[in-house]
Amino acid sequence: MLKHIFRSFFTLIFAALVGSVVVFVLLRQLGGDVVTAMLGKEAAPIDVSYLREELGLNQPLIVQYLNWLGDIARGDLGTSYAMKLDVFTEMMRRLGPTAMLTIGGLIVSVPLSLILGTYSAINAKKIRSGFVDVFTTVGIAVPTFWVGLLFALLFGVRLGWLPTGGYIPFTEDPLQSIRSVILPVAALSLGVTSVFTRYVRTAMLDVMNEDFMRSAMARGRTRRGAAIIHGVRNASIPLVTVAALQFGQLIAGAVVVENVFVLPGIGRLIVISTLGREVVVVQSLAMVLMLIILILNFLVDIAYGFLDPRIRDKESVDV
Amino acid sequence: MKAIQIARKSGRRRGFAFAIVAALAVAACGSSDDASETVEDSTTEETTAPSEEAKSTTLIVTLAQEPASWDYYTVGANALRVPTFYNVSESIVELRPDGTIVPMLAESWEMSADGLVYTFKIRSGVKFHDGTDMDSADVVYSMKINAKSPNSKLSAPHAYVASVTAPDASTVVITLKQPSSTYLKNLGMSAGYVVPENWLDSPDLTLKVMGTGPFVFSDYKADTTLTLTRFEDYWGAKPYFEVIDFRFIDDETAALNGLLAGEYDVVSKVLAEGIERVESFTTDSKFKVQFESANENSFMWLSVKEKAFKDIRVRQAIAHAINREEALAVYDNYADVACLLVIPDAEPYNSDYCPYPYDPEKSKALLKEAGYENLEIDFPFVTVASHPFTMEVLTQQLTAVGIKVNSRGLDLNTWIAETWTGGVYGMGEVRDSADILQWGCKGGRNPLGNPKPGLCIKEFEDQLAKADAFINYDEHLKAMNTLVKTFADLAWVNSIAAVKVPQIMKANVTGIPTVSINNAFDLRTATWGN
Amino acid sequence: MLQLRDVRVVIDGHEIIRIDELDLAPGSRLGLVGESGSGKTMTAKAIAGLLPDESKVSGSVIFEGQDLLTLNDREMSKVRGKRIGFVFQDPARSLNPMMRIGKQVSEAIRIHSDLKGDAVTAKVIDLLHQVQLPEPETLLRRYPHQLSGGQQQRVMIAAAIAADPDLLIADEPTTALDVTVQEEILRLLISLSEERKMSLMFVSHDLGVIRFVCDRVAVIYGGNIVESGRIEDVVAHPMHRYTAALLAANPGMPKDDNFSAFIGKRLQTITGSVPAVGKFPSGCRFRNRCLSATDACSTMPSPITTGNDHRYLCWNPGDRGQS
Repeated sequence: MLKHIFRSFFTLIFAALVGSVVVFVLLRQLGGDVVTAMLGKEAAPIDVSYLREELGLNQPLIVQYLNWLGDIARGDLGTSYAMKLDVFTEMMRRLGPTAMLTIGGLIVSVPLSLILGTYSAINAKKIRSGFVDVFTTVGIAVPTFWVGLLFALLFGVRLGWLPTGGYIPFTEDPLQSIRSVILPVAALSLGVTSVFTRYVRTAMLDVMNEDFMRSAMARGRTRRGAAIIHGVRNASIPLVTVAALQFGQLIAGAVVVENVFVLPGIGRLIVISTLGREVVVVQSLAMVLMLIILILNFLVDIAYGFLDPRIRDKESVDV
Repeated sequence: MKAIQIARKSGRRRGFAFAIVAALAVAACGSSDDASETVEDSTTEETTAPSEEAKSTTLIVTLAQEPASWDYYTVGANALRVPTFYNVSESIVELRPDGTIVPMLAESWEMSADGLVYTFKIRSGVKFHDGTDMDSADVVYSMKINAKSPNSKLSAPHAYVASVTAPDASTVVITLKQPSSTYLKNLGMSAGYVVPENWLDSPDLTLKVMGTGPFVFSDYKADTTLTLTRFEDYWGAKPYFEVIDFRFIDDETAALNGLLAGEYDVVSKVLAEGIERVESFTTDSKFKVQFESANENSFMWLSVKEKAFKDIRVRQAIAHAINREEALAVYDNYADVACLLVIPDAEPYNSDYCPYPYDPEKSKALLKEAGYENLEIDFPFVTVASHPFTMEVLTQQLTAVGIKVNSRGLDLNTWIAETWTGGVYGMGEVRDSADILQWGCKGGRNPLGNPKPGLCIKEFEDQLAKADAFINYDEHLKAMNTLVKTFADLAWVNSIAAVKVPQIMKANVTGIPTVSINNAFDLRTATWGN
Repeated sequence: MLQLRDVRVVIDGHEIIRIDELDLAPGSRLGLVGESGSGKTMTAKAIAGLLPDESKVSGSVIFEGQDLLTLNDREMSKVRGKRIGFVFQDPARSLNPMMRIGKQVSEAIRIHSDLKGDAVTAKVIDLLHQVQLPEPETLLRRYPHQLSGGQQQRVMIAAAIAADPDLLIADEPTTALDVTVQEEILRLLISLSEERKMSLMFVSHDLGVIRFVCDRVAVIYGGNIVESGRIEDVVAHPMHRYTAALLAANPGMPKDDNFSAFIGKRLQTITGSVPAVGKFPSGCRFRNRCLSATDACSTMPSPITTGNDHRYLCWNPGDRGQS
């Protein structure tokens, strides 16, 4: 088990490093830099290279990369060039909306997908599972931003039930805070739920064909009872992997939804920083998100052991 | 008729998503009458009672753009000046929408007979928002740093300054190397910014704007809000509102939805996909739409590096291919045709002069004559705001005379780096607020002044040098009139339209000027009407 | 106690099972024998109501006076586990890998009785004792993969009899196990059946194993019960040519009563192979492989019953010497 953890850990670090190089190189391929972004069209015809010098943008790329990496290794995410904001502080400030979106998305989509997917699998050959199929097909097909716009227009403008955008921090007013994320979470969850429902359905259908499901029914479980008591847990093993991947999708979806609903989250920070050529901010955020997703996958690896007794025993024998 | 068709066409594209949403919303209501009724209900609900709202001393205003930082000295974007100029920052003098120059931080001034020496009497009792008193030392400091700013809005007008001195605490003397008829006017804009001494060394430089204006820059949350609060020690008449709550909402659909839902009071600018919804607000009695004269012209220019464009016949051919009337569709006709690069378009030296009216046949003939019948032009454009739609219109018009246009969409900063300040390309299109005097070859403005060596046309340069140096105002105007015509004749830069920017607000908001000076969204006189 | 009458199972338009008559008396042990594809597992599933959704079943399966075919899934679930227990072929796959042994053995108890908590545990421990598993107290906290194949099958048996069913249907319960373990499991089934006065339907392809366990046998081919009767009658005087062929293919039969003497001598191939579903000939299903087939065999023979309820379907009956 320990050996397994070490191996996963080094893979994680290596993947993060490769990822950081890719992000660094890609960002440098964009035209213009933060000086361009600050001066805009108004750059005076004087030599403005002193600004680049001041900001350290004239250093060789490898030096810039290593400086940044060194800071990261010390736990310093750096500061933005233009505003001189500490990236970590800014990230924490923006964690609220993104966390509420992604966690809210998980809270909504995971149980809903489990219910819909299981229902659809149990009734696989009946017409009513077709309703679930229609829902998931629509949910996958419609773009998240469009759903967001539709929700904002319907529930925000027309019905006036919920705000059309903006974010109130949870610590300021919990009720209003939750109200402000209901529509975004709904818009975000639709696609993710649809995709995940399909995975649940497939996993459940596989499990339903297992001999132990027949055994359970032979002991007196109904088809549905067997599916819920024996099926869900067994189906959960492949689903945990997918859920970890879906979390990445949730973060990607959050970027879109944050823009539609004007939520000042991390997704918007990445977009704004990329447009503003705040390369350090983007690099550090990408690194943090990459680490979160990689760590999540790493935890999923370990979680298998807890979920599946066979793997747990196998690994304890390994060491 | 053709113009309308194009408006429809480009409109369909830009508003595709919205069109579906709107269609569904209408379908959901059953009828559009029903829809407006319901909106009315929700608005009333939201604002509870109009009388209560009328008493509110907070104004909620959406802003479409956010600056990279609040460092006024470096940041060139309008986004910085929109919420802060006049509201937070003040200049030595004030340029009024009618073009007159009135006292601001200088109570009075005198110009020497040769037009070289300006003596300003600095207002006393003026405090900066940090509580310190403003005096001539602050003004001298400000003028000196402004002259060195990498931001041409601040530094370019100071090009002819020889010295800035303060004989006493309430007097500032500025001496020029040569007369400049526009110098004083420019002191009413970015070049006249006054900040406390040593503000450039403050750690707060990038985080806030410091000034003497009627509102204090009191709180800023990136990507969320900018809060201005009324400055109780303000030297002048205090504004009505105690708090201005600016919200950064770059998605126009979201901003307009919020306005409809009663969440905001004013949407400060409608620039892109929201344009086609403006009309629905003009017919809604709960809202008021006014058109801000943006002091911006949309123009296209040709790269000075392209061999083909060195032949004036090719440039003329391109100029003749442009149908400006049709291009107004981009702005849903909230713009005026402008053949001359006169900013603001209300300047007295403006005229209807249009050397190259729309004439596709002549255009084709000129191309044939010049031997460029198979001309190809590389056209990088910015993928936000009105630019994609303008690109579409220009591409269509140039294609109609047999020119092959290869357009490529870029994000703003890539575009600036690859087009405005250099790079290899054929033509560009932009909305800009720089006046003609900044287009000279010596220290000239992008894109013609850069990359070095820029474009130097003797005829234009001679006129340019003279026009600003006239001390006599009428002579100056006459010279300027000739200058802008000459510039148009050259056909390197073809002005297309003077753009008006719709501002949409609740019907009872009043006092927001419709002419914007230095891009300011001036809220000094804003209040509730009725 | 169990009577099958005119049971037809049709899947995708093919008649898979056609059983006119099959009876199981209380306390008796009936063997159902046939090659793979002969329909024996389908018959067991038809009784349990565990056939795939798309199958159509007609006729009647009368169990203790109740026709099981008229029950829906919920009603049938009250019969399964409580009145009829099931043991399946592959214990490793038939146990839920993610559920502890105790939980699986107690499942039927928890479903069908009001017992709770410690009483359930006590009963599970008792059951594990009954199936002769060592250290039941620790065993019930283990997972299936931690047990050997024989232990797993004992667990399956314990789980099947947990709610004290009157009938146990065992479908090839020893096929996946090695020879010595097979004998133990078979002896366990016999003793449980005797102690509990529990009827047993034992499904196997191995006549030897059935001879060891059962008192009666039904031979199934092509979904038809071609011959049935007391095991010694059928073995001594096989009337159907298929039964005869089965016996001939197993030379260790029937002289030696010792299990290990004939076990492992697997059924040798009968000429030809079992046709695919829907490819059986009309009339006698076996006629295309039968060496004694005549023209008469193209129509379905009527059942003939001789003494001791020895019943068969054959136009040209004879003992194995003639085959």
